[in-house]
Amino acid sequence: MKFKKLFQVLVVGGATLGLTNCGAGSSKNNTGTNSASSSTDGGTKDGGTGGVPGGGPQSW
Amino acid sequence: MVAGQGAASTAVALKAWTARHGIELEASVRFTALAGRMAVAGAPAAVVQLAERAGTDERRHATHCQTYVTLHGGPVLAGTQPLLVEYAPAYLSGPQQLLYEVVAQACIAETQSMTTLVTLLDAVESPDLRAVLHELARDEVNHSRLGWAFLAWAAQEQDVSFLGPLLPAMLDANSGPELFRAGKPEEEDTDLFQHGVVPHRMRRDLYIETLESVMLPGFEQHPIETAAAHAWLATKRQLPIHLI
Repeated sequence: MKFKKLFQVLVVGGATLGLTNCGAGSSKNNTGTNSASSSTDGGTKDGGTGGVPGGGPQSW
Repeated sequence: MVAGQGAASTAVALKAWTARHGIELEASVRFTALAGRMAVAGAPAAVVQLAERAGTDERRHATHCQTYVTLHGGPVLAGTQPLLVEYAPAYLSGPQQLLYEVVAQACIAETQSMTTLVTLLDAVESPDLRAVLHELARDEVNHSRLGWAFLAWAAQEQDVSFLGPLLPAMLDANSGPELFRAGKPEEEDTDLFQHGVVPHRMRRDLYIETLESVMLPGFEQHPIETAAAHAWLATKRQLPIHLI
């Protein structure tokens, strides 16, 4: 596996970071809601949550 | 090198660095917004801080892109803050939408960027460009890790299996419409490496390698079903370009 080391650093290391820091988090209300995603007007270019799933383009 | 090939590869590189400039600015806005939403959701402080820092990093990266473009005769690019772009389907719950955005941005886009940067660092000779790539790679490690960290945390808080069927849409958007088509001759020029650009066919191979050896195994750990993503990749592999 060409990127075995990257898997360890990114995926395994990231998971360790996320799990070992549980409890050290900020305000814990676990609603996950936020005004930034409140729009449901269907657009994906205007800051609203899109009706068509997608993702960010590859930069590099 | 044949006459004109150098100019052609420079043009390809200019186009790539110009596109990167816009993508970095958009990523800056996205990470800043995601950091706020992560904090509200109660994510670990260390992860939230990484996302906040990523927002700042990406603006700095855009400046590097502008510098490259300027040095090679390109225009001054729009530096205004772009609108926030979000991709999660509206039918998902708030926590699901947040996780979707983090996975699309960090686990997919930033992980792909990381392997590209590692590949470029193996090939680029210019000390100045290597210094920039080193700086970017150092940052992108954290941008990718924060996604995998958030996913690991979120998997303890909620059912993350909804992501499996959505992975193809994320990958489609991330790879773009051109990655799996034949590259133009100037896009295959290995001289592109010295401009900080991976030639087209190698970029496609790199994308597939990263998907198979980093991202899909990473999703499977949580566990997120990757059958749909494997099917997406199989379809892409059947496109005529792979017969050339």
